Amino acid sequence: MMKKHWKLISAISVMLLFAAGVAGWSVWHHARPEIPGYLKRMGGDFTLMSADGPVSLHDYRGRVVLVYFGYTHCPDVCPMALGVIASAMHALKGSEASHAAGIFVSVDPRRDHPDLLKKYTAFFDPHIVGVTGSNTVLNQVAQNWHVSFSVPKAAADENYTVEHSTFIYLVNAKGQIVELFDEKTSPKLIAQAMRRWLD
Amino acid sequence: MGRYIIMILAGLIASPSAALAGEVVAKQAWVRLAPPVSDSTAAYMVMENDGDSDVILTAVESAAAKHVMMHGMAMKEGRMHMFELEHVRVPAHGTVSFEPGGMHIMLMGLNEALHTGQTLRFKFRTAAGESFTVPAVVRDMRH
Ligand SMILES: [Cu+2]
Repeated sequence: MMKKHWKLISAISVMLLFAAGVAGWSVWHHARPEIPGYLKRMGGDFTLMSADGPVSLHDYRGRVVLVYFGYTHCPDVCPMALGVIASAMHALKGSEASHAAGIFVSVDPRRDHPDLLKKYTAFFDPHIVGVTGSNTVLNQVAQNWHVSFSVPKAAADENYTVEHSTFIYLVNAKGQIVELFDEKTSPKLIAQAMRRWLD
Repeated sequence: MGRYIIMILAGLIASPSAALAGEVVAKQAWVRLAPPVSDSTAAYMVMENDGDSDVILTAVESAAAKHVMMHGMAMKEGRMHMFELEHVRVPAHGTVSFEPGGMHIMLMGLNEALHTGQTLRFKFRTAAGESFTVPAVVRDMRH
């Protein structure tokens, strides 16, 4: 009698564990979470200048894009962020990789000309495009994307630092911001998120 | 003979060995290889104080760049901003870290492009009037 009881319990346990495993796996594999409300109010299309001509966010429809705002003379957080972006892109394979891209927006156009930006981003990954624009355009994009930055009044040949927000934006194939990361996020986690939004 | 020994000892005391002031030793010192185009980068290290009294770092110098300073970093109004630190206290029997995304040694206006494996030297001064030099290797942090 006792023995039978245990058999039943262990059989149920095995079934429950199996069900939980299947559920967990399918959630992990297929879940495409809702876009949080506050992200739905941010972002939008833009057209900025790269070394190879104008680049618009809508050129990237059908691909997931990591977008970062910074400047090339940034000693620490920007190289960290671009390293993270490059590693995350690097972690994607085959068709995933060909459906992923990176955009680095310089908020320091006084120093960061598009051809310099191209050399800068190529150092991290040639698939990251470097863009910038006039102050008017940058201010508009920054406002739409909730980016805060402040460039001091200084000559281009002076050594100055720029204060800026440090978000890495994940943009889905429809051009919507879906998740936020920063330079301290693990590239693996970002790559997982990119895969999730590519499915 | 006795006088000789005293002179040698005095000489040793007057020129403390590298990376040592009082009881502070710098470990794991490295410099981020700056991407092309950028003439700014940062150096990182862990300062260890084995002594019984705090050591206060008051300045850092290097021939590698026009401006070299100890920098703090903080989020302010949604923006990351860096500021010069006049002094950094290395507590007795404690450590202080200059690390990516935090307090760092700022190099602005590099005099020459850096290359991986190169060693840069940083001379620190302390409030007690001592100084010590830390060698730091340039590292390429990609992948
Ligand atoms: Cu700094």
